[in-house]
Amino acid sequence: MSIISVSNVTHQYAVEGREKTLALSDVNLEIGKNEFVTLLGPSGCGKTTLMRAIGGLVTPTEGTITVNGKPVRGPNQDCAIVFQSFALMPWASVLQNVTFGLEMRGVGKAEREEKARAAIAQVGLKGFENKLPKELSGGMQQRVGLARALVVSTPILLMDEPFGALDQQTRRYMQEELLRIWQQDQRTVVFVTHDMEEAILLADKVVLMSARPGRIEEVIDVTFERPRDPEAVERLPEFVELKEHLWRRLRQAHELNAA
Amino acid sequence: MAGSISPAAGAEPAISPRPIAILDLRRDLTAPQALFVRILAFVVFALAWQWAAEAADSILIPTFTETMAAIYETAFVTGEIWPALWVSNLPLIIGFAISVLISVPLGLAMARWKAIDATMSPVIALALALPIAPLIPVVLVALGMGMTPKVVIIVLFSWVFIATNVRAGARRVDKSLVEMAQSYGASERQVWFRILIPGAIPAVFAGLRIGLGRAFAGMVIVELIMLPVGIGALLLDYRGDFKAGLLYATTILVMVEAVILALVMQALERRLIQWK
Repeated sequence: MSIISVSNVTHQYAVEGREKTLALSDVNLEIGKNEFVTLLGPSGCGKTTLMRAIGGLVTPTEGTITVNGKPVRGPNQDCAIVFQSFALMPWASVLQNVTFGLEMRGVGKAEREEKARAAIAQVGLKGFENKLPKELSGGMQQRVGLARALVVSTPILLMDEPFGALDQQTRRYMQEELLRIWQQDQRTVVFVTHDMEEAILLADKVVLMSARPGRIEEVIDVTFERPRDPEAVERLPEFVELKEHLWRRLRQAHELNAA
Repeated sequence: MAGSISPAAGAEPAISPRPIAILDLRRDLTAPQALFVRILAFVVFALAWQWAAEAADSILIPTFTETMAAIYETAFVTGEIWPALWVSNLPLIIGFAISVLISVPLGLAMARWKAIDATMSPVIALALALPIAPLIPVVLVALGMGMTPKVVIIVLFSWVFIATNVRAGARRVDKSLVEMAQSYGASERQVWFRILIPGAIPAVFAGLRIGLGRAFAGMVIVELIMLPVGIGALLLDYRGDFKAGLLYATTILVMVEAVILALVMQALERRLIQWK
């Protein structure tokens, strides 16, 4: 039974003065419970739009999306989002930022703080509860964003290129952390990225998308065993093959577009 | 210097001349150096004033020492300046408070709702461009000679600056923060109180600081042009009696008040915005 069901979703939007852009064209996707799915593709392929539509931040012009059995009509309690720009309140401490989601759900103060402290420890930021975002590095800020999303215990986690703003080493470190944390509760994740290696490394399923119009090219199962060690996995011949396959598909799609 | 390439014989070095012994003017001053420079500047100013005033030898131009003595006299001996300051500042306090109560919500509303922004846009543009002073006779004729016209003028002087700064500040709040809040289930009210208003506070304070300065200017103009009752009355008296020292003294003390208000606002701002 799918926990996320995307049916015939098309999304068009108009920017002032320009022609309408077809961000998504007839997209269909089923995501099962506890699956880690990555949406992979170049700029303009609609991957972020699709993720935002699942999260209720965007309403597609056509089609329906069902999450946890209910049609999506706006931001819902089943999804928690991790943003590319971190979206931390700069005037609030780490603890206050992490408790924000719980606060919006009406959880009492003592309980929120207790849960938040646990989440903060889980992402490796114990001791930083009273720091302000400006006192933290990019990687640490994103971990706060992750803790905030984890602590509301939603069945689904949506991540919008969460490591895009980080340098390569930090990104690798965060990927390892994410794998480790996910291993503990294995909730459903939809992870948007343009980084091919990241997409394969993290996922059970890679949804390859291409642009103009935004559409799904292919859905590929990734069967490497978990827990995954990035260094080891990336050297496997199957990994390299998969990467090359994805590249070929993308280049094909690109050439077809250009034709 | 070891390792440097010597210039060809007779060529001028390309580097600037040696720094002055006490102060290297090209670099930032340390705190003690800055204090020294400020005190030095003040002393030079005072001496120049004293010298120029004595040379002019006019009843209308008090010397530095005469002015200082007059400041002491009006502040601590006769105490004349205090009731005058109070009378003049009362409309400032009331007017500024009203201005803030109108302009801050207005600025926030303009930032949040495009319809309000579009409606107010021409009003704002006009208010920014128009000098207020020509409106004073109009206000006097319409509202008479009491507290009300004074308060109205002060509001007119300051409201638009507060509103525009608040609006700019609220607009500058990261849109992704609003989205984040909505995604975690925040209601419209919660978006206001947890994201927009805290995010706009630095700009609100900048607006308040500028607005206070403008309101103060309005107060001075009210006193001088409209209805001299407090400071304005004192200034008129001193002018009439040729008491130049007291005249200068009073003017200086008014300026000191303006500076103190500005410094207080700045200190408040700094305390509230440690997160920036």
